Amino acid sequence: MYLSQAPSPHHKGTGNTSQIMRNVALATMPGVATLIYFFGLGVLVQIIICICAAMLTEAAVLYVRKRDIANTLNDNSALLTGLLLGISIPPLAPWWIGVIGVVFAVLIAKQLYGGLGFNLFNPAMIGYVLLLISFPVAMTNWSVPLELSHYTIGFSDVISAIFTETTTKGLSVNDIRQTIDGVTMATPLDTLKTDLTLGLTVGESTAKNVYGSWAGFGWEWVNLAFLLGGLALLKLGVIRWHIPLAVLSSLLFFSLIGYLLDPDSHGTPVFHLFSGATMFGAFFIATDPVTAATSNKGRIIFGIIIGALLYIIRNYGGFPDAIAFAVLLANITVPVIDYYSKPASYGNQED
Amino acid sequence: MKTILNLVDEGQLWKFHGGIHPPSRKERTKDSAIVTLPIPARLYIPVSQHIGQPALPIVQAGDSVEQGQLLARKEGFISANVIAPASATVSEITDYAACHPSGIATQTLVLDTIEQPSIILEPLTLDDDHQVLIERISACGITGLGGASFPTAVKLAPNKPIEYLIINAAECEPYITADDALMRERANDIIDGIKVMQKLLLPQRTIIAIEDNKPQAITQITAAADDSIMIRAIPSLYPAGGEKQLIEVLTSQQVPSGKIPADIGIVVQNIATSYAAGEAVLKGKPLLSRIVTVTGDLVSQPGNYQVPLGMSIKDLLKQCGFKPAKSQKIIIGGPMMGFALHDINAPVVKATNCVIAASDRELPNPPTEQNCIRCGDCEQVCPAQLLPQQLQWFAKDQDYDKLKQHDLFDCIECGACAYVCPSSIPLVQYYRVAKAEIRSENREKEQAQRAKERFEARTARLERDKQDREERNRLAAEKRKAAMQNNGDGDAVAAALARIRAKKSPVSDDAAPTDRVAAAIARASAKKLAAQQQPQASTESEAQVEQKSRVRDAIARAKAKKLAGAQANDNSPPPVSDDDEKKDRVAAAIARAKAKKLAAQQTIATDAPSVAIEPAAEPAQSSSANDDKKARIAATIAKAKAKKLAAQQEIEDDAEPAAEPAQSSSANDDKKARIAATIAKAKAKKLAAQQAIENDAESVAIEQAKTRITNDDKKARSTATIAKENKLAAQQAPSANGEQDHSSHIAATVAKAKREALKNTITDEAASTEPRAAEELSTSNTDGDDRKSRIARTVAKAKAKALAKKNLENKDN
Repeated sequence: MYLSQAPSPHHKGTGNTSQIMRNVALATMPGVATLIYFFGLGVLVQIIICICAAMLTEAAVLYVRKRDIANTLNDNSALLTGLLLGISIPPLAPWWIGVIGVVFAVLIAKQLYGGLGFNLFNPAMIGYVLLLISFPVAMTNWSVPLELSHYTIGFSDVISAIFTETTTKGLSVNDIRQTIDGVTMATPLDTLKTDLTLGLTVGESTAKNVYGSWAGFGWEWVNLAFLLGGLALLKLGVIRWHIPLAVLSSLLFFSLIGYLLDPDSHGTPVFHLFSGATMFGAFFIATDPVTAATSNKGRIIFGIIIGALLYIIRNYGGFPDAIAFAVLLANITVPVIDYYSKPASYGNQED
Repeated sequence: MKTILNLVDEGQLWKFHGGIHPPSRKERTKDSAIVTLPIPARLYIPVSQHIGQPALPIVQAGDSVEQGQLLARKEGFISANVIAPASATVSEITDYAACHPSGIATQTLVLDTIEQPSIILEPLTLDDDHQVLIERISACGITGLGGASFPTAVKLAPNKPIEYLIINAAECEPYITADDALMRERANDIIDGIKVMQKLLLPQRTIIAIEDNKPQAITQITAAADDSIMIRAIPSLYPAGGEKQLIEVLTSQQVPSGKIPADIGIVVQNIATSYAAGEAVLKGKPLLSRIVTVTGDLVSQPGNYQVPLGMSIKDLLKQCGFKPAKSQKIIIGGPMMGFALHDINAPVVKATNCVIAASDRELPNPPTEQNCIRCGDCEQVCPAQLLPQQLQWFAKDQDYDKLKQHDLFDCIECGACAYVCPSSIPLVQYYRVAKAEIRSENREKEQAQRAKERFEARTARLERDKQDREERNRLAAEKRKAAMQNNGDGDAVAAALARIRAKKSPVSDDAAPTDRVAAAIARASAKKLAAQQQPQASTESEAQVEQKSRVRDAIARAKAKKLAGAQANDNSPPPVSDDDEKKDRVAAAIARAKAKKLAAQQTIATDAPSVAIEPAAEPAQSSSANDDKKARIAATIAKAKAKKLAAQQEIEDDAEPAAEPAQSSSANDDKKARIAATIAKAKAKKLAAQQAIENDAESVAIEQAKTRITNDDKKARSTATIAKENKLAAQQAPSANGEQDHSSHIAATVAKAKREALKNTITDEAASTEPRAAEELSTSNTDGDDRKSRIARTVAKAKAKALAKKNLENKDN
């Protein structure tokens, strides 16, 4: 009769790292579907490329490190990194953009630090920033929403654009970035920024058709979809409300101040909240538990920093959208936040 | 402004931080009635079933004990009695499997039970003296029955004013229903026990806390309780039954870190403990059994059983219909804080409130540990408001300072953090290990500190003793001086001292005191010798007397020098009157020569084989296989040298002074030098041979080395000369002892020495010519004979050697 030995507790809760990661990945589906609807199947192709590259890179690194490949891949963290990066890059970017970004993210930003749990910076955002800085043109060639596009871009065009950098008709990706009226298209945030430097007011700029009903065209729905996915995560208890609420409240607060002080050169708060990667960043990027602060108080501080940096960089920095930079800069402050937001334990509370 | 007491009276409850809701799994045994199990044939009673010092057995193997009789008496302040749960004979007192997660065997009394009614002590009442009640509780061996087994008598005598007496009936762990059953069936007895505790502690309020998942128990207790007792139904949350958490829930107060609840005026007792206390005091029944919930999917009759203490888990499970699977866990206690049993023969002890026999399906082993994803869920549930995630990082890092900073020792090891961890990290295990490491490190530091203190005390004591001794010596010296002066005998000494001082007056006071001492001693001894030798002048010639006195001077000098520790700068004799001056100079010169000789001899010793056989050294050394043996030879010769040096102090060997003039004389013939060297060598070898007798290999080695060396021409020539000397010596040998002639005396000793030296070297040569003689020599060599027989032997050997030499010379020619 064999008496198996194990330390207490012998009862195990239902929390599970691979389940958590999987649930996060599933919660991005509404947002991904909306992106595909508005920007074409390029989104899906990029996601698939990035996920495959991420898993392969992680498997290769684990093999070299002589770790258990199956057990570690099972925690779905590489899959999630690939997914998040795939969502972030332009749908028609060349295939090697995604691969380089993901390899860098998994290999250097995660595994070289020691693997899951040991990394200081959000791997997906590290990969994104690397790409943005190294390949600015390819990374800012965001495609036109299908509805507004001058050219019809079918699936074969998508494939050839991604893998050969020209469409089937021989046009480059930049060429097909034309709206119906022949204007080269950029994202709403990008457009606003450029227009402001050109001297237009916000009101004048937002008259363009690149802006939708209340925020960027297409982008407003994408953000809404990501918001819904995030709320689902909250309900499931996969993430805690502190970070998303702190990020969004902080952004709302600062954009309100800016808008009230100078409405002509600052976008509306609603615009800021529903443009670009705001919701995506608040619910899926900033909530990465490994790189965020641990205590609730610390997480709120973390979220506030992200919201503030987001607003500042968007309005006064050199980049139209700043979620990646904001998150990475906040990651730097996490050890300090953790140290100073340590709650007093039972029996040690001086009051 | 309402005080906490007012709020408590109103029934307000607070919350503690964190907590989890594991599935309770109490359905199997929740409604089971208590079944009293019969006493088994064998009982195993460990002497340590409680926090504090183990009890000391007062019975021996073979004794008969009655049920309720004291088996082991409590030791120290925090300890508890151990009582026989049944009438029995003590079979043995031995190390037996303990009911403990470590699985280490502890001292246990093994009882073979017999049927007999139990001892009932005289029932006391609530009106009895405080001390009497406490003594009864202590005598009956009551300890906390909630799982920690703290001796109840100690807890009920806190010597502090108590505000709240809290009876812990929460039973928050899954599976356990022992207290539930007790409350359902024996509520009145429980209340009686609580009354005893109220009498002892005199609290302002008494609260019984029951989790709200036990409605029947709440009803029963409420019905049995009187107005002085408040019943509170607290929300079911694990670990609300933890002492600190319960205090927070009921009174909103937190026990400060490092303190006990009594320090803030609160005493918490488990409800089963109060029942046992009531039985002991009011009915005179000692603690002989307890209620144990036996559950799990591998027992066919789960339930709440009244089990005699000491029953082995094996017997208990058999009574409950245990069917073992291929692999299972037997957990003592609850699934959150209980431990997996190592040995099924371990006994039921006072702390055993539950036994879970679960297959791997019901309580599966946790999956492989993954990396911590810093999700922070553990922080959310920790009832002690710690940061388990950080503790885990530091525990893995063995960063003890950070662990203490993060309040590791406030962890109550409830397991809530490990329960929620998504990466299945065994957090509590890491904390236990870290705590143990820190404790052992503290213990080592303490021991080191104590050792240091003891060492310092000892050093101080030795220092003190030394100073006392010096003080005493100084006082004694003064007394002596004073006494001397008084007696008048001091004149002679004083005159001598004055003389010495006069002689030494030109010398500066910086001269080394040892020089002066040595000079004085030498002079004194010289004078003495001169006085002694006056009457002997007729028998010996002037020269001899002169020489002898010089010799004696030198020896005395050398002795003095050695006493003072040989210094290099003893070459300057102090300038004194002519006669003494000359004597001193001579003595000094002799001493110098002696020192030189010693040094030379030492270097000779280290160069061992090459000196005696210097001419033949080079070819001999070239043979590589010799090195090992040479080294051994060198070692033995060095040893011999050392011995000789020691011997020189005592033995006044005539050979030495003979060697000195030989060395210091101007005519240093090469041969003579070699002779002198070989004398020394031979002496050394003689001693070496004496020592090397034990080591056959060494002597064989020496012999072999020597034989190899003897194969050389030069060696042959030297041996020829030596043989000649030997012949001469052999002729003169019989008169060696009484020899008066100086040179012949030298030659005799030289020859003697050489004979000894060649004893080994010519073994083979002799063997080739005279095998029997050689054998004789070698065998007798290893016996360590006295000198005479050796001399005779060497005479014969020398003769043989001479013969051999003649043969060699003939060969050469």
